[in-house]
Amino acid sequence: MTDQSLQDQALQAIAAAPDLDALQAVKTRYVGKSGLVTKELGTLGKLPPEERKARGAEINAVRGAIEAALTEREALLKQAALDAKLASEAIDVTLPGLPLPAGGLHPINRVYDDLTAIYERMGYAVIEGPEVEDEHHNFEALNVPWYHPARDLQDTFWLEDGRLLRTHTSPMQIRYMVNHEPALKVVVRGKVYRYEATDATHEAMFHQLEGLVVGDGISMTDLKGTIAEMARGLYGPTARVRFQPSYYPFVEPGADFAVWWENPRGESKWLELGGCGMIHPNVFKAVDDLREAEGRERVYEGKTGFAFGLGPERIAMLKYGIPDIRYFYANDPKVIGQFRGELG
Amino acid sequence: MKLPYTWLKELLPDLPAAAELEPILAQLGLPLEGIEDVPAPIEGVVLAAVTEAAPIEGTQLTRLALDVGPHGARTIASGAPNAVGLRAGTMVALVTPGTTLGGMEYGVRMLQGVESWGMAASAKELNLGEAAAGLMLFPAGTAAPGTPMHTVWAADSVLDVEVTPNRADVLSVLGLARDLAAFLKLKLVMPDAGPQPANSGSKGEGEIRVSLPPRGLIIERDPSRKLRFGCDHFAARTVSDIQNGPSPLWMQRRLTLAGMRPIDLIVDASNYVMLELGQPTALYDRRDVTDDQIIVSFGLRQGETVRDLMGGEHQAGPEDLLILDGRPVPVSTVAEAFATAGEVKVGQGVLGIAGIMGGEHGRVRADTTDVVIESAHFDPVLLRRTSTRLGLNTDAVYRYERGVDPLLAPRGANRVAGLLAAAGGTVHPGLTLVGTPEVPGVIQATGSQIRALLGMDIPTSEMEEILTRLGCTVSAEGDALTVTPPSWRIDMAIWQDLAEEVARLHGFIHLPETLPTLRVHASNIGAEKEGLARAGLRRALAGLGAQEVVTYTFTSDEEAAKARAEVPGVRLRNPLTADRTAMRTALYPSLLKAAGAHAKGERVLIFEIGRIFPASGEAERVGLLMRGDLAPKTHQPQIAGSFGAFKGLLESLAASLGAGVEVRQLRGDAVPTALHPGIAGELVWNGQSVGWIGALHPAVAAEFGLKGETFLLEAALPLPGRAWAFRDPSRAPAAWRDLAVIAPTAVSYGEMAALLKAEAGALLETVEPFDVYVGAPIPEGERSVAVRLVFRGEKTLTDAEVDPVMERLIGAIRAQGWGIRDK
Repeated sequence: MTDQSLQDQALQAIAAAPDLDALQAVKTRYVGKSGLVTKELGTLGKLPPEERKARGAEINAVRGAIEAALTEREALLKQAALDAKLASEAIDVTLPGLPLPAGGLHPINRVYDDLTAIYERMGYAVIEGPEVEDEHHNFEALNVPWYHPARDLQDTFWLEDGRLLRTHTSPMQIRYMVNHEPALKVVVRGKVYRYEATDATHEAMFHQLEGLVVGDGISMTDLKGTIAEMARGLYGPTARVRFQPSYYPFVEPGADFAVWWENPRGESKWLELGGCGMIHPNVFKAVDDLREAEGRERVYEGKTGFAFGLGPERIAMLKYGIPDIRYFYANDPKVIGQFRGELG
Repeated sequence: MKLPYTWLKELLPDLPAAAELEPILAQLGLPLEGIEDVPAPIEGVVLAAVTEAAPIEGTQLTRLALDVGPHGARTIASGAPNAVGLRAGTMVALVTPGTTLGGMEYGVRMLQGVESWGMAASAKELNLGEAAAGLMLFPAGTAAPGTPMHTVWAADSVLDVEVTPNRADVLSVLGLARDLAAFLKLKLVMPDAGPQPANSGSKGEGEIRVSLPPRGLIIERDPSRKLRFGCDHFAARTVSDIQNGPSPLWMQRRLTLAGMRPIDLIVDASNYVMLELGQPTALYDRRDVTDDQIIVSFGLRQGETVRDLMGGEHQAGPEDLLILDGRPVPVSTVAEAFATAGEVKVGQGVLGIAGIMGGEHGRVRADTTDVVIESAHFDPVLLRRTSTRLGLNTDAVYRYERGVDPLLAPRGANRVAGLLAAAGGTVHPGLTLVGTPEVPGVIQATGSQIRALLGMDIPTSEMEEILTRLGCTVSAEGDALTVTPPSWRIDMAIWQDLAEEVARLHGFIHLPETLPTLRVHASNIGAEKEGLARAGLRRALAGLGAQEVVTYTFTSDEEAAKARAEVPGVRLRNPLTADRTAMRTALYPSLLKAAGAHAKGERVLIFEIGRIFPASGEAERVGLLMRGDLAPKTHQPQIAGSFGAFKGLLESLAASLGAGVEVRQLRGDAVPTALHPGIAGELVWNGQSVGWIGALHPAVAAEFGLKGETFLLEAALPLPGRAWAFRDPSRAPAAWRDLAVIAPTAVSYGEMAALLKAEAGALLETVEPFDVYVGAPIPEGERSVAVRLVFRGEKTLTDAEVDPVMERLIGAIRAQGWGIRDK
């Protein structure tokens, strides 16, 4: 066989090899240890030295051509094998995945978290406290004596043992101040209760966020600035705050605050959000009296401070367009499950 | 409080238009709840004079013969009760034929043989007032017969002002006018003062002798133990020769616009003065004021029956302030009353419950001609207590409990007398005035104190000017202010009150915005930790796939029994509904109810963090509930919801919070009764028992209408933490051994693992079960649990190190009476 026909024959076999195993057989037949080309190289020793070099070059050329073809074919067959494997692994990715549960927070806590995030940024600690209170913490210590008509403003659930369900988060002002010394900055979150028939805007149980700051030289402008900071955090940089005189027995002066809301989905307006004021000296006195009774130092006389309170339900209803306060506690998964992700 | 704009305008001639008042009042802290434009009566309603009123025989109707001026003499038949026996001259509001009112055209009809020319109307029929008290009636001579009513009863705007409990001083036209005048710097025209008494300046010289209770009643519940004064100012004046009947039209109009129902001249005059000045008065028929004497006294004995002028009966007692006449009752103090209780005939001479409501005795009647006017200042605390206890809420006590101007009594009496005189009565020249009223005391303040509290740079001179405008007497010395509030501002007591008034009149809109700069005291450091842990737990649970719920904390005995929860001990004295009579003693019943809000067969995975109120005290809990498949079947098979899946969520939660969690098998009586007796465990968090986990008992599930398995856990918050230290992971390879332990089925895996861990010591890294087998050749009642034990040391472990440990473990197992399964 001539070199040329050997080479032709080998290249033909390579091209015809259907898979990697067949190609390996071709490789063995021609360039393996006892392959045809390898054998031909073995004959070089019998040639006269002056012919050897030329003949060697000729055979190596054939071998080189065959090996190049083998490499090329091998790469091709490997790719084909991989393609075939991948093709066999194809999945219809439009079929749904495993329906794992997806959790979320209740809308009230979403609003709470929005609010407390603003206050945490300003260095406030977020605290909670008991929902069953005594009359002293809920009323008396907050400058609402038993005979005061202001009690009419807060219809109360009384308990058989003489205690009550707190009508506001303000008793935590007393509890926190008794156990801590000024200066202090806290916000309180938690449930409150009013003896009120339930309708679209009234609930016997709802929530409040209460703020309390006490220190030296705290002024009413600090209060307004703090509310304005919250308003911008909640409603964006265009939000403005309006204070109007009002009355809460545990503050003096007292105010109601409203926020100008540029509503992206409707009419922009002033939202009456809550009440606030400068802590009444009688509250500081009641705290110091309680501290003294526990053998602690009186530390609140001469301090000033402010307190404010607002309802997350109202904010959630206005912000998210919830039509009825009763939606919050019915826990219909189709309602409360909506409040996920960025709520705008 | 409702009042017509034009009444206010009478006192403030330069008052801005009604439509402009809303923002002005809001800045004063007196927001408008509404402003209503009340039109005049429609055209076609005229005033007609009654010439004769006669009953129509055999009917309830009255035939009224009327002089309708240009419309001539007419008749109507009326069924109104107050048409009976009308005096000639009395005027009625007549809807003339051809007038359409309320969608109905009135005409001429025959009624029981009487030609009825239109209709005599009530205030309600004319859309003038809400109360339908029969025909509108006016005194003779109110206007020429036939006068169209809208020419004398003008349209108006009614302001509905929200008044906070501290602002008793604005519960009147005068009070509101005073505040507006101070804010807007307007001229204030005082209402007519009435006939000045001849003895003005001296006391006790009117026709009525008045005695007040001695000061000094202390109320048991009052922590201040303050002496309650009872009554410290009492004015009495008499008017005779009154012809009682309808009050003047202008007065009825104002009362009606203010939301009150006109009654008769005498009652209306009293109500008018209350609205105008804020001074409640009581008018008694002088015939009943025995011996022309009034005794203000505490009730004579416990449970004394007092019949009020509306016919209601009340049980008053020694702490209730009563108005008695001069009937021979030899006592005027509580002590005396008790001492002589047997001799006193109770209730007889009681003219009224002081400041709350008049009695049946003393009541003004149609034939009353002589009256005694009582205008007094009573103790707000005593009156509030009596009114609350008796459930009597009147306009008078509403004002008294908030605080009436203590000096207003004589002005109130004179004003009522003046109104009655204008309607034909004769006022006796003398006024009885007793008592020494307590007025607001002097307040010391400095301008800098007020500036510091407000943070506003208001000069002391402006403060002085503002307080003076409000009626205070101010003397300023440098920065120091000595302020005596006016008698009507009983709410002003401390310098902070002055600060509020200064800010209010200076304008809250000028308040700048700053932020507090302070460094919190060391005792506050770390106050945020519990809140952060709670927030972290909440987010971790949501991240696991659970939806948070917030449920009502109320429960009932029935619900607690259904859930097999602790019987509620925190019980409402005044529940709103039968299903909310107490506070819950556990969280899971709330979760069971919330699960019920889901569709049938729907997967439920919900959690709540909330408070419970068991006998051991209020506590915070976290609860998690799972129902249905963890992943429902689609084109792929489901991942069934099992106890294992539920516990896996708990373990995943613990792992994400860096906590160690363990569940210990509960058996017998230790199983919470709400749980499946065989699927219940104690939940141990970082080594401390915090709650339970298990499957809901099918009987409880049925009570809540829940079909299929429900898995639950409930744990106390805050969850215990653990000591944390960084551990450098060992890079040495692990050695492992497998071991199959044969033990009675009653022995839990947890107990086996605990034994192995305790015996193995520090080299044992983990124990994981990989096979649980029951059946031959394992004896009946026993099972084989195969575990893989992984050991790791500082360096590669050799058999010489591991084998002794294994021997120890096997020895311990055998010591328990358990076996080892050979390979």
